[in-house]
Amino acid sequence: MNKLATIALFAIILSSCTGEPAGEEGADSTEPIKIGFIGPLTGDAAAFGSDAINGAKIAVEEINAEGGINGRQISIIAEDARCTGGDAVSAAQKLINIDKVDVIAGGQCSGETLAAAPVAEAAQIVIMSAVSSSPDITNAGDFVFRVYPSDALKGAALANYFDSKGYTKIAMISENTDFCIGVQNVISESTAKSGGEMVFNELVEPGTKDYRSLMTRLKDIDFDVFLVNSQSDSTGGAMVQQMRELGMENEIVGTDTLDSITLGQVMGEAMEGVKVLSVPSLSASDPKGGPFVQKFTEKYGNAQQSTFFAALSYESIRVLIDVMNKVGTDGPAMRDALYGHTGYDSIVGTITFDEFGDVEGIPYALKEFQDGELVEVERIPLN
Amino acid sequence: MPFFIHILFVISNWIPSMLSHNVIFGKGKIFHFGPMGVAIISSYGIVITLKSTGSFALAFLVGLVCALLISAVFAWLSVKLEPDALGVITLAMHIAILNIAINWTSLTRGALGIPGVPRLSFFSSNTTLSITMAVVAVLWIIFMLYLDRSSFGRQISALAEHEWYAKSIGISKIKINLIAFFIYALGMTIVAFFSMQYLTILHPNDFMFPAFIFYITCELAGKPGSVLGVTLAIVLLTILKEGLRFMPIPTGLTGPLELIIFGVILFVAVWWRRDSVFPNTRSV
Repeated sequence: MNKLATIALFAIILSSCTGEPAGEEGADSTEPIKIGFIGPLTGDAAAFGSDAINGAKIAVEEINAEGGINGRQISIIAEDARCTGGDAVSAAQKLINIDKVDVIAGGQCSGETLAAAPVAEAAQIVIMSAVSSSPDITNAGDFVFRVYPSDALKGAALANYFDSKGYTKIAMISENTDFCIGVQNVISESTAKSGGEMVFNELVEPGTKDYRSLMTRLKDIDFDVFLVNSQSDSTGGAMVQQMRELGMENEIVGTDTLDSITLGQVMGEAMEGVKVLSVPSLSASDPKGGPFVQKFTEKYGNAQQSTFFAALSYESIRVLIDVMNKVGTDGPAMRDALYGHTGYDSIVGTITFDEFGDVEGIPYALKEFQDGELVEVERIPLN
Repeated sequence: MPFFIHILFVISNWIPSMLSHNVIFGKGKIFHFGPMGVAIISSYGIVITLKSTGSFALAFLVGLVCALLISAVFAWLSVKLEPDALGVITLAMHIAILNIAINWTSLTRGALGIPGVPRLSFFSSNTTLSITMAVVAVLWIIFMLYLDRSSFGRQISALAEHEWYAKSIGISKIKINLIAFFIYALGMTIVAFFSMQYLTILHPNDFMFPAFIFYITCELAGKPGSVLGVTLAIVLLTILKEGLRFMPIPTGLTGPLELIIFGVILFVAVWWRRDSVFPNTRSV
């Protein structure tokens, strides 16, 4: 028990290591505005959590360099939710009740956002996710917003594209993650609605790299297009490569995770002609997003998952700051302002929120791998 | 205050399941490494029933029956298998059950989880829910202390210390193991019933190995088999885990550094108790 007492002492010391006592900020207008960040900073999903926090940090640094909000600087307090609901609740409770943050940026995994939402809702604090895509978030609460399009829209966009090409027989392999299952569900529904048929619809464990058995089966099936529904570019790239190895020349379409800077160079010939339905790309030469990409790369090197995730996180912070500039940091006032916040011009598109807090105005683009580069070929209408 | 109410809930919520598992693993020296398997079945049983019928009583009952059934299988395995084989098979069963939960998408929604778990109207505030959970946790500690000193407690200890001798004086291993596993099933169902209402989302990510590792760590750090020791370990390690969020760590290092520090502390805690990890057979 004496040893446990030592742990107790250590725990108490750690617990006392707060940056500042809770509840002492607010009335003094010189105190920094606090933005809480919730995301997966460790674990399997840490790659996009890392991109998101780095994007958010760039936004905060820029605003602070511009003088902050009415002279108040902005600080960001990051909490690791490890892509789990339990940790997201702990993180939200700590950010809201101890750090007294004015707003929360997060979660990033949909499960994080859905778990943290009731906590933010009860405290009347706005919570805005940069990359959560689950359709469930649409009904998560009045204070819940996101700048990433719902998977429901992605399904509609893909169905429109397949329809325009006359594709009726769809083959798909999905990783068993919440993101991919969300996509799988909407694709299956959209395909059925448009009179198409899922002729091959397989689910694999997350992180699977060997698809040769499934591809051998797929080879005997008559299909128009193969949809790569992967959680990461490495698994999606493996699907494409192994399909091409077996000589299948059918069209391949991937989702956001194939929107990878390095995939065309690493996988080479196999990626040629592969199409990707994603949000528009950001590159260093892009007139709007270029400066952000350059700044991000200089500070943090290449994105771990996607520069676009970092850009979305960056813009989610900028939108929040824009609203705080107008109505201050009161939660209900921010919520109301966000619902009426239309046409915010950002590097990722024009951001408007619908009556559910879902973003409108982030377009989808169809891209294609050409000579190792991912080139935008057309915009896909969402309706 | 709400954060401390939250910590109170987290600590109280660990207690019934972890102290019950401590009866099996700590006191009985039975290598049951599949407690998360029971947690998954019980939680999904509760949430699916609750979402489809709206009856909290029925949901609890279904969760309990599911937990008892899988616990009966675990108890049967504990009698049939050698300790090392039991450890491996219970781990495998955890993975198998998790895979079923993730892949049976028509029932469980798979990796999407089940959001929007309703709450009893009495638990509309976190404070009420947390205080109720704390009262349940205290009652469970009292129950565990009673059990520890009871005939059952002595019999499970005797089986752990010298199985052959214990059997020779009429102690039934299957009966004792069944009781121990059923107690865990009840504790886990209570935990699942409260935690699902608290989180309002059931997600498979919450049943991965880190949760099980936290079980084992608390039981080892608190002294396997000791009710008060494990309770204290739950309290301190939870405070420590959450306390790390308060360390002045640069934003970019928050997650990894917390994880490393916690990992080192857990290693030290387990190292202290390394002699009690494996059962010592008493020589007669």
